Amino acid sequence: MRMISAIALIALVAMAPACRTRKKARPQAAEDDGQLASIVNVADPHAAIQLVRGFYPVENDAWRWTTKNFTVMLRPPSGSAQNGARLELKFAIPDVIFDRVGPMTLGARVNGVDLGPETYSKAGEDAYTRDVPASALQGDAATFDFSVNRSLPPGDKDQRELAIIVTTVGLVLK
Amino acid sequence: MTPVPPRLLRAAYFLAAPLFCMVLFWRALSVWFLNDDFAWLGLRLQVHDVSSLITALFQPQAEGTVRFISERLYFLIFSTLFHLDALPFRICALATWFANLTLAAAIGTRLIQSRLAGPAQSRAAGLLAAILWTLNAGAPQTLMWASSYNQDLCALCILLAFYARLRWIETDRRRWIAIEWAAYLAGFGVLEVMVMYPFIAALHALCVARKRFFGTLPLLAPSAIFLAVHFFLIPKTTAPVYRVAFDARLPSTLLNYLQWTLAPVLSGEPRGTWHTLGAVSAPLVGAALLAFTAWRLHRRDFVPLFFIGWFVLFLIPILPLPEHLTAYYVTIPSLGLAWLAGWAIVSAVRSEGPRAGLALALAAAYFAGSWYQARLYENWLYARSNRLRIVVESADAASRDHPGSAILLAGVDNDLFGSGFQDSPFRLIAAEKIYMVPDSEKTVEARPELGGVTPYVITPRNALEMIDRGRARVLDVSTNSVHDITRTYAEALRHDPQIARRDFVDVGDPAYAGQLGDTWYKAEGGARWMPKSATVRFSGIAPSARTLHVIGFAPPPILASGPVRITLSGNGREIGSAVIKSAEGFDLSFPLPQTLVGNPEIGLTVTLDKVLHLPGDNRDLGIVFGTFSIR
Repeated sequence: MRMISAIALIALVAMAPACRTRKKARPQAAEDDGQLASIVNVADPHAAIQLVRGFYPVENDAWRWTTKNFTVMLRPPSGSAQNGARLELKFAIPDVIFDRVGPMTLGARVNGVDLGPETYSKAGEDAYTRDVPASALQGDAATFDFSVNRSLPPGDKDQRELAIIVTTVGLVLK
Repeated sequence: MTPVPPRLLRAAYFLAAPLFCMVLFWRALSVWFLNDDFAWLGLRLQVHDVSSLITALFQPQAEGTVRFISERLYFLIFSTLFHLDALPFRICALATWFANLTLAAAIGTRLIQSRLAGPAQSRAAGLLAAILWTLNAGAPQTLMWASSYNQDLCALCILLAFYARLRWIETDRRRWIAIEWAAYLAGFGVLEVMVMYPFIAALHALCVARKRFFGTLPLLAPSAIFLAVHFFLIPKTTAPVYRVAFDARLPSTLLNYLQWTLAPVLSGEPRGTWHTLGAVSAPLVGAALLAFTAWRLHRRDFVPLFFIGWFVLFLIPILPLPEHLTAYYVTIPSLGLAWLAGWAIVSAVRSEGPRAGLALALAAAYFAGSWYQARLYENWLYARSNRLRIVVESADAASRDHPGSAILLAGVDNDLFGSGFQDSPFRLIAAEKIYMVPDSEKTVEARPELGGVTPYVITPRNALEMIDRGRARVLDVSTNSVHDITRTYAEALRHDPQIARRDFVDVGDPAYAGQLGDTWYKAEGGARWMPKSATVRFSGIAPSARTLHVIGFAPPPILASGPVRITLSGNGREIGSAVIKSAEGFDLSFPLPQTLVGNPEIGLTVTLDKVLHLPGDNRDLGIVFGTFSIR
């Protein structure tokens, strides 16, 4: 009997926290202004919807691998429809990729306008910067299709197609 | 010095192990549900009348188990009373565990008494055993994952039955025999390892009370009946993970569980300082326990054999499952070695020599490693389950705020998806339908045997149409701060050059009805029957597309007269055909012919070589389809 009482007491002690209540989670709507960002930090989880395709999940809270072809949607900054803007893609070519595939050529297109290729002949951090004509920035959003001429094909260690590591991409006024 | 009052000592004896457990697992009360829990929580949705209740309680599930008390009744009662509140589940698990610890201490004390200098020492050994046991490798999962409650409750049945047996031996009162049988028989509705209890009782009699041996034999009858029913009447799963194998892997499986028991930290990631500590201490702890056992056997004391036998006997049922090594399986067996260790430590400390130092050092290594591992698992479980809770509750709130709307989730990563998406947690809330935003399904690894990621797939076009008609909301769940991003996401979709494409059709989802030909029947339960022939419309083939994927199910009646052939053609040109022979889900892939490239639209026609007619149904019924996709 003593043991049963002890067990019951212990069980009651354990149940005491049940008296508390926890507020249920609810989505917040305050930040949903229907506006896309002009500059996207690929590690920002809220900006992920602008990384249309060709991006892998964030790594080290800082960057994402891409496939050979990847697409980003950006909001043209105000005034760019008249004066154009500058596109800047910050990225890195890791040694492991460069040692296997050599120099890489990166290019981009937006609304039918070819922004031209650029070849990168060394590993490390770099940037792809181009002036974007005003004619390509009419509207609330511009979709940039990037392509890299070489990538590491899926292998045993990593079954992803890997091209470059991107940190930010954005449009700024010239 | 004033002596401590006996009542205080007794209270401390009963409370010490549960309090230690509470300190170790204080966060358990905040852990939510995960994975299999949702399958069990959904059980109540299948209960509509007495017949469905009986099915829910007794139909074999998972690996062919019928744990009608610890899984069916437990989840049915608690989910009916508390819905998705996990706290009552945790309280129940902890309360059961506290009872287990109390019984473990009491049994240990009884088994060891007269083998140490006095009752205080045997009490200390029993208490220490209970504390060591709560640090076992399986305890974190057993206490914090509702689906593992069977281990917790089964331990209670076993310990209560065995405690009653000890009391019967002490007092000869028949009521203890009644309690033993009641707990023993109840255990068969809790976990299959209960079949080992008669062997435990028999081993105890052989080691300690030989005159009682023949009294244990009647206990074998229920075990034999249970085993016969289990092996001959219950269909077994074909899943590789539950495949029973009596082969050369048995010793390594035993060794694996032994290592996890001697050093629980070894059940975690196989690297790091803590793992090294475990790898060093495990063989030392094992050697020390063997030496202690040898010393006791030399003195013709066979109780250590009973403790080791407890460990081995309760492991036997799981040793033939080499593909399903799980830490919670050691929960019950590890108590045997905990009793042995508690006794050995108290005995060594009493000697005050170098043995005492060695015993305390090994105990400290076990304690520290286990504590670390429990913390690690607790943090992992809390983070994953809490994130999933936030997503499910947010989807529930959004669905209530926007009745009739589907919910699109943005930012679902592999960890979140793997926390339970494939166990259908969203059917437990008010949500009309849950999708992942288009293309995000490509970033998760789904298990095909659980239906893959298909139930969450939606095309950009359908997503935008639903948002524009006010029939969908988009939630960004990439962090624990969930945001409604419907407007921003719709803006992004509107500018997506792929928006017009139709590369995917879920025929069971009314949202895709516009892509289906006229002959399809009405959607039923997430799928749709077709007659002898049916059509699906796609966009022209994208440059990157290579194959056509088709997922469906051939019901047994249509296969009763032999296999059924499916032929697929696009715009009148044959793409391929397949013969379906077994009544299982099929997942077919066909390379897309080059002759179809360049067509602005693809009209896919599916044709069967036969149909069936069910009694009371005048339709021509062919096959049930799920999805078609061009990738």
